[in-house]
Amino acid sequence: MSIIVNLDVMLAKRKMKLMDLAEKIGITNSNLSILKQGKAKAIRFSTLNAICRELDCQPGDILEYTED
Amino acid sequence: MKCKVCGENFPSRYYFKTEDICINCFNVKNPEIKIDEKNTNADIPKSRLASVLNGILSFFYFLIIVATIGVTISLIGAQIEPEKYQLNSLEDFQIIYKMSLLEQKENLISTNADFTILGIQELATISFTTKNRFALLMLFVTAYVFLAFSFIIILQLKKFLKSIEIGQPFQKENVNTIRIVAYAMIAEPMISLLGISGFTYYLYQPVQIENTRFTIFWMALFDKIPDAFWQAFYGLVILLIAEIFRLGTKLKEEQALTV
Repeated sequence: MSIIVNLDVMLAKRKMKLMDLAEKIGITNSNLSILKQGKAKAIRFSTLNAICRELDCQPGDILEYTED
Repeated sequence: MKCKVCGENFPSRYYFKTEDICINCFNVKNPEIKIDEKNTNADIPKSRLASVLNGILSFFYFLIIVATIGVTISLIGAQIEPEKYQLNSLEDFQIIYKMSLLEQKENLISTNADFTILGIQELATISFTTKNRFALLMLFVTAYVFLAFSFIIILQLKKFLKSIEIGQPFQKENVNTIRIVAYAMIAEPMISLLGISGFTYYLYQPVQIENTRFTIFWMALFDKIPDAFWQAFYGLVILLIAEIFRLGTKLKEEQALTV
């Protein structure tokens, strides 16, 4: 089982930089980078909420489930 | 969110270097900020107790080194002037045995067995042979084993305390460090017990206590076994603590990777 994070895809669609998104949602660049690279073990609902609000998307646009 | 230095309001934590100082003020390196930097740059609290314990361990480390030098000098002396380090005469043995008799009399606990310890006069009729050099060598080996394990334990504890000092105790390296301490605490009494048993056996085996089947060797061994057992037990407890640290490290890692 694996969850793929498509944050970079959404950032490209919205023409937004990672730094800008981090600034808007109030977390550090390094933390958001961990999420983008797929190294994160967990994500808080508050963070997911803020990302979806800023990128105007659904959680399913950010997170994708695939079978290994 | 407001910077406590410049008083400016910022929309999010992104603009802050520390919890309450913005990046601009932090980079200006105001002396007040530098002072705060010492206190707040460590978001992780430092442990003073760990520093004190580290100091105490350093003292024990020094004692171990002095003891090792002393044992080595004694070993060299035993080779150069062996007559000074041997029990050549029955007289020497009587003096040592008299002292141990006095200790045993004070600590004597009444039992069902009815026995008396042979008097000093009767010892003169017992002939015995002692393998002094071998017995002494076993004693030196035991001393070195004890010092080596103590050295290992102290070094590992110092490494562990350093990580606690900086407020980062839950690391993978610390799990191994604590495990090494635990294994050393379990192994050392077993090996020392073998060495002490050998030494006691060669010196005291022929000396028997009247009306019992016990010899001084067995009494000396039974005296040492509880200490060895308890030390090994404490080692097992420390092994359990290592397991707790392993779980703690895993939890910390998960928390660090939670966005």
